[in-house]
Amino acid sequence: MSKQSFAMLIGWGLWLCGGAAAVLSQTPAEDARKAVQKRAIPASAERPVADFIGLRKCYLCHGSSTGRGELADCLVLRNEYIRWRDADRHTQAYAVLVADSDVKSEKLVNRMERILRISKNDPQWTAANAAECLSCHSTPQPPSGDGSENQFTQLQKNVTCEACHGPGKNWETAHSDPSWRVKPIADKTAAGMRNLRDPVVKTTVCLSCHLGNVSEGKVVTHDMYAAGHPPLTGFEVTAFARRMPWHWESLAEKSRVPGLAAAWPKFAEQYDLPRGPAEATREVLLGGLVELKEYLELLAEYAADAPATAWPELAMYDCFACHHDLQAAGGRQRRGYGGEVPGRPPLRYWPRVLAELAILQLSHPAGQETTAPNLTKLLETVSQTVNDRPFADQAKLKEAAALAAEKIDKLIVQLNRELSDKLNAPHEQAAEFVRKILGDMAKLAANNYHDYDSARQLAWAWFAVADDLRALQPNDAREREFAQRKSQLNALLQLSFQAEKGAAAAAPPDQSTAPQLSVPPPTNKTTVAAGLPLQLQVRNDYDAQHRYLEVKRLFVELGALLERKESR
Amino acid sequence: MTTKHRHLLVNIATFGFPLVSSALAVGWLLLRVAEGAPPRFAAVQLAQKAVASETPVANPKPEIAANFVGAGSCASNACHGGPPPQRADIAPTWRNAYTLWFAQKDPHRQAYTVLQTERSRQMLWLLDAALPANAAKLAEYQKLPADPERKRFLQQFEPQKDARCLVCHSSLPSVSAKLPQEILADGVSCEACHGPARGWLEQHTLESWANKKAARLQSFELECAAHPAGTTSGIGNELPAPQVEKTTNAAGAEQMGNTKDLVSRANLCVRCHVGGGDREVNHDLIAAGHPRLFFEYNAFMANLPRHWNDSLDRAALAADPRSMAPRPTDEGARLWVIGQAAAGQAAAAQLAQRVNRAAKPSAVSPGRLRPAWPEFSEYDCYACHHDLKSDSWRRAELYPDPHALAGGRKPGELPWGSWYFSAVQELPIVTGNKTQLTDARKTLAELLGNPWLPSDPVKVQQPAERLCAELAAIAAPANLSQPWSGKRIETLLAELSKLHAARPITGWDDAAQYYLAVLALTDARNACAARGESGLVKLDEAAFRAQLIAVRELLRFDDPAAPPDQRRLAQSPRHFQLGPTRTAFAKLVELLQPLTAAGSGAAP
Repeated sequence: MSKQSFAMLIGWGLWLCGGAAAVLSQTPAEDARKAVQKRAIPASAERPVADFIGLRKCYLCHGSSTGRGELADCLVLRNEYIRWRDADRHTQAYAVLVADSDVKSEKLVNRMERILRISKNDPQWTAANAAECLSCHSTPQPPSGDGSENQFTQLQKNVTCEACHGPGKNWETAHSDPSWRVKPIADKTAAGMRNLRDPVVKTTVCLSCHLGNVSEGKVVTHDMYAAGHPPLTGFEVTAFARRMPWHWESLAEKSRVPGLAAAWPKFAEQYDLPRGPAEATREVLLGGLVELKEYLELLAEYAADAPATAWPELAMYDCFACHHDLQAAGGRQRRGYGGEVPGRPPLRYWPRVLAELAILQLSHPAGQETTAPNLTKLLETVSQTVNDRPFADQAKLKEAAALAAEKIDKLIVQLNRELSDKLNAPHEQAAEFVRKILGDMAKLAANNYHDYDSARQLAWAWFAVADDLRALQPNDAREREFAQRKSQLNALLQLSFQAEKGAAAAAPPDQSTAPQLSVPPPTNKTTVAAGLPLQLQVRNDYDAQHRYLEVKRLFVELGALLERKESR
Repeated sequence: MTTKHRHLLVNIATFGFPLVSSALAVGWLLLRVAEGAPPRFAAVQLAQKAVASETPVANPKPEIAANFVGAGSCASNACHGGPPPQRADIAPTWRNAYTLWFAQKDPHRQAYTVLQTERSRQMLWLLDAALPANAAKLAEYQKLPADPERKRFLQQFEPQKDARCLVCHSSLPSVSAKLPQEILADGVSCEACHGPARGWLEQHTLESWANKKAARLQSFELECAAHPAGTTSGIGNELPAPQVEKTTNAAGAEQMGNTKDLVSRANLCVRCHVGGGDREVNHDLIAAGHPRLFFEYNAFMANLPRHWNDSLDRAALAADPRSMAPRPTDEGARLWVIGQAAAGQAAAAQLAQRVNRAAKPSAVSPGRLRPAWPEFSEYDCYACHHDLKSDSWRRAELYPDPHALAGGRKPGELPWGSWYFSAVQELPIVTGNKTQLTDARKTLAELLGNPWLPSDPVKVQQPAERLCAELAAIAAPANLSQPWSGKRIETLLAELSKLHAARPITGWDDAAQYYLAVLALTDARNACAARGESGLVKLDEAAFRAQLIAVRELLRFDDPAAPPDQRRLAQSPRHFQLGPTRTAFAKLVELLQPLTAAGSGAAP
């Protein structure tokens, strides 16, 4: 070969190698890490305590016992604080951390302290002062001011308004001004008020505690569970919101407030609010995707942050895959392990089932079913890491989970867009779509045997979406049969609340003569600890008594009912 | 086409095609011959030759499998398949060994047939369902709606042909060996324990055999050193290289396997009942449906129907086949010690093996499973496998006790080695060398890191091998060759009680091990007393027995009050409570008080 062509060869070769190196150095892992860092909720480090204003400021406007009263066109209910205080268990979140002074007390926190003091090697450790407990069970306190005690001082240590709505300092006065209504959402979020009407934001806020969030210091570790912390398994945003109960109105109700009705359509368009009665469906589907995404991000962040000595964290995996008494001819072998290796701790199942339902609703060009988003394919790499090695290799799980979370994020954006169109369509079309979702849910439930938490997710979702269908198409002759099966599901899974939304908050009690107590009296508020024995028993029986067969049967019947033409 | 081309075509048609096809046919035939004619036929021919020549046939080839003749050979009516004893008080003899083994339904007989059940098929399927190669089958399985269709789907799986199962459930010596299906179908039959018979089949019928005395037997030993990675398979892995069994384990040798010596017999049992080398029941398999392995030598021997004359001293028989020395009464006590040592050895060796394999990911063939690390079957099963309860005994009694969680274990972390290594701590009382064993075990517990995930698995290997070697020293002949007196057993019991008082139970595993220990030792002691040994301490026998039964009731898995069909399903101690069990054991220890008082200061 001549010198000239040899030189050309070297030159082109170097150029190609250099280009390839440049392209390949953009590792997916780096992108994934960047994606994880931008989150819906700012981390606590970015949210200085000084921005919290405390409960009293909210009470001044939102604590009216007479509700809207003479302010008939007021955008909000005005008695939110009353509803929350009287019925919501978030008002006890800190109180359950305060140990009884009697050291032998059997209160749950006392029992936990007895155990955790030994394992932390700190005889003075208390839950009420521990950062790892307060991160979820409390709200950052406002600057103490004059240090006087009032009816709010103790109450605001619990999970209060600002824990969810955002620290109020920068929008406290602004948001009571009428011009606040027409501010763009981005401006409101920048000021610190979270847009909880957006199902994605709402679910992310709830899950930061109810599932966990590493960057906010909200992680329940396995030794905390072993010491007695109730298991955090299962979360469905519509169901949990109803249980609070609601201290807000549905948008449909809001649109009928006199004085707002005229301006409502423009307002709704500006904020892309659902305009039909099918609000819950949107929450179920988007919430389902967020549940999976948040779980994957929890895994990715924990895998990224945890030192090797703290790996693995058992609490990140499915609790009941291990925690069951052994039985010959047991349910698990009968159900099979899907594509997973038996005996290796699986990732939690419950975040997947509603995500799968949501993914089924994404539109894809006709004839492209094979390339349509598919949950199994999305989670393939993540599942491989836990199949390959019990608890997965830390680095591999971090990468796989972060990538999968990013993909789900994109699907959330897509679904959000599509749902707006489909659910805001005329009632007939919207009803058709909602019915399809119910049908898909029935098929999902019938195609496989689900563990208790996944079955519960499906049941909760069914209740919510079925309510929407009823709102879109009332007077369905099959209603009684639906209700019958719903109540069977309720009993089977002990869902412990009814489907009627906001029922407990329908008539807030007259507070004008109520005494000013530092801790409000409980009304609908059995503690989680008190309800735990029954909850655990139901769950243990679910597998032991093969109840997954009944659940499957019920959903098959519900699906058949749906298909049946209604007859008058 | 030119003439040349046409000629070429004609030549090909005339000569080329037949030549090539016949070459292929010949090649195929050669291959078939190279695969070997059915081994049995060859083995029978060899046997005929051996009988004809009256000289032992030299070990035909390194492949061990050819040395197996099958139980059918032993079962002949003229040999070991003779008529059973006519009366219950007549002891078995060699004439009816096979008959009794078969008729008394020795559980080893069922080992192969159990592989043909639906449960075994499901196990095999679940184990392999996650492999990439089975993706299509998995998709098909998940579409199947319900049980009848799933049953039909499972028909295609044949555990009885899978070497991973057969290596314990039949006489198959290793995963790479090939035995004819007829021999495998005998289950864990004669040659699985007595060794492949090829080398001694003809000799052992002759008068000269009895004169060989101990030399005719080959003792089983356990290997402590882990095989280099890639030479053993375990569940889920393929075997990259053929494994050759150690020739000291009676592989093709002219010596019969030594089942008479208690230590050799224990080593033989734990090869399958604990595992090692190719034989592994790991957590993947258990999750697929395999029962848990928990071996205790004395208890297992007590439950095994005898196909030999149990009234004779087997060790003496090993030395002299004509010995009529009676079986020693203390044998249960020594069985307990030997069993703990042997099982512990095998478990430690298996740990070394697993950690060695897990550290070398390159040893895994593509498309197969990487061996699991941590291996959950080494830990306390019921530490995880219990229903969550709001009033759990762990939270009430175990976790709040600062001394209960040994080794800095945090609540929720798993205890390692709870079955094989709980009573093993007490074994030094046999040799008197307490520090030896405790050191190795402590190192191991420490090294299991967190405390159960070492950052570097290979650090675990050396302590595991050391532990295995030290346990072998405990089971050394010097400690166990002479029968123990009842007095010595009482001292052991006293020491055990003292140790137990200092280290109360922390779960079902060590409760069960302690119960079995007390059972073995007291039964042996009582047998000594029944034989007329004098000087033994007076115990309240009735109360003691009642208390033992009370303890046993507390260790049951099932709830005696439940209906029968539900009872037998329970596979974990769902009603176990730590407090009542500790109290029951305390009462037992109290009843053994006279031993402690009498035995203080007495030398073993």
